[in-house]
Amino acid sequence: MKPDAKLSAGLAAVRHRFLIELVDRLDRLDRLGDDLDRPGAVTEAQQIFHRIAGTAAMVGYPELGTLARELDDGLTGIAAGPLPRRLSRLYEDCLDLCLSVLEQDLLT
Amino acid sequence: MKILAVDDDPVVLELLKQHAASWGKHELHTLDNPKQALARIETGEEYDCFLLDIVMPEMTGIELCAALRGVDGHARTPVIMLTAMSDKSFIDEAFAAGATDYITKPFEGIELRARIDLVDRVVETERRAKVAPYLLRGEDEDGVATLTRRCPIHEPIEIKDVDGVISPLALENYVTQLSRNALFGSSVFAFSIVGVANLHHRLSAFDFTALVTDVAEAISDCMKPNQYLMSYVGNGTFVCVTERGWTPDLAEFLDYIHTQIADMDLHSSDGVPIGVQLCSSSVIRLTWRGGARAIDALAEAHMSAETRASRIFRQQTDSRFWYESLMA
Repeated sequence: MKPDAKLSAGLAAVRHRFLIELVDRLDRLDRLGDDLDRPGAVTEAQQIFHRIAGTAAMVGYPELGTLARELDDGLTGIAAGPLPRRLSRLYEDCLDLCLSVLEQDLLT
Repeated sequence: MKILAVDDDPVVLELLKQHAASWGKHELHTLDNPKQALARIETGEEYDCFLLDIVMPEMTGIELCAALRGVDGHARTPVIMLTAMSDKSFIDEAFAAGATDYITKPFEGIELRARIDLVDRVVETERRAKVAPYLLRGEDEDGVATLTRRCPIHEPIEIKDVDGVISPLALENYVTQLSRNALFGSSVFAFSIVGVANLHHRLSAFDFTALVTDVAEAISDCMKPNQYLMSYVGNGTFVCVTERGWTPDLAEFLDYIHTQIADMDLHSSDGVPIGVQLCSSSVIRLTWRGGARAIDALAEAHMSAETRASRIFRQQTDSRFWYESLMA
């Protein structure tokens, strides 16, 4: 296998790993979304968005990465929910996008 | 090069492994726990370079970087921070903790490779310097011939435990990547020790290093509480970068540093007082000078301070010669 082909195959495996992780992350974010007034819930959600923001674009999902980055930044300094309306909408949008990415590339 | 990457995100570690495997020339090790990483480093496991995520639970990459700087043999090992942080204060904190460079996630494989190749060249240069040290012949107290390694005067001595002091390479990386907003409020200037060649010749390697460290500490203390980073670039010269619009009046600032140095009451190991005089460059505002032009600004400040130091030293020597001829 040529080096480029080997790298492409390797990156495809990483992308798959990202999607598998995203299933758990989506599930966790969904649960946290209903529980954001609990101490620590916003911080945990922010950590998950932070991770998604760090890798989504590198495995082919730049839009998801940008949305997660906005949430990562937006949640800074918020101790507990409820979230401001704009952030709450972004939160929902990001979950929807995660789901559509999974439906398109993992669940087919 | 043997590299250790520490990130709590398994996806990032996988990505790094894939890229490193495609380059073929480096050996990449990964860990997802910073405390485990520190323990491994402390056991003496050798690495040529570290890639550290900033945000990790239990211990941040910045804390890990600061801790590994205290481990024998890793005071100068290149540390590249991996960060998804858009907040620049984290980056500043990382450089102050001893980071050499940083890469923002998401990153491209080609960008990662360029940074690693740069580090590889630095590691290779340092390795060669260790193989061919600058040796000085001398005698110990019993008259036995000795050979000791002495840094050439132009070599940037490593300065430990002084706030805001980072390596020259890290300072270059830092200014190269300043955002446009940060550039607008940033200035570069330098200080040089007048007659540094004499001091280097007269003092032992230990005393010269101690002197450079003390001067760095005096400058650093005077800079506080403003936002700054600085580096010792060799030849008695310190290059400083300040941010957020703060630039000192350098004439007044020099007086302040000289007072600070006088309070330190510097002596060599054999008890002889050491007189230190500094001079400054002019202030260069970075305003529109991003990327490579910011490095030019560092070089400009460096040269300007050294040129002034030489001129002052020459004037002082000429005056002394003139005075001594008159008295003869």
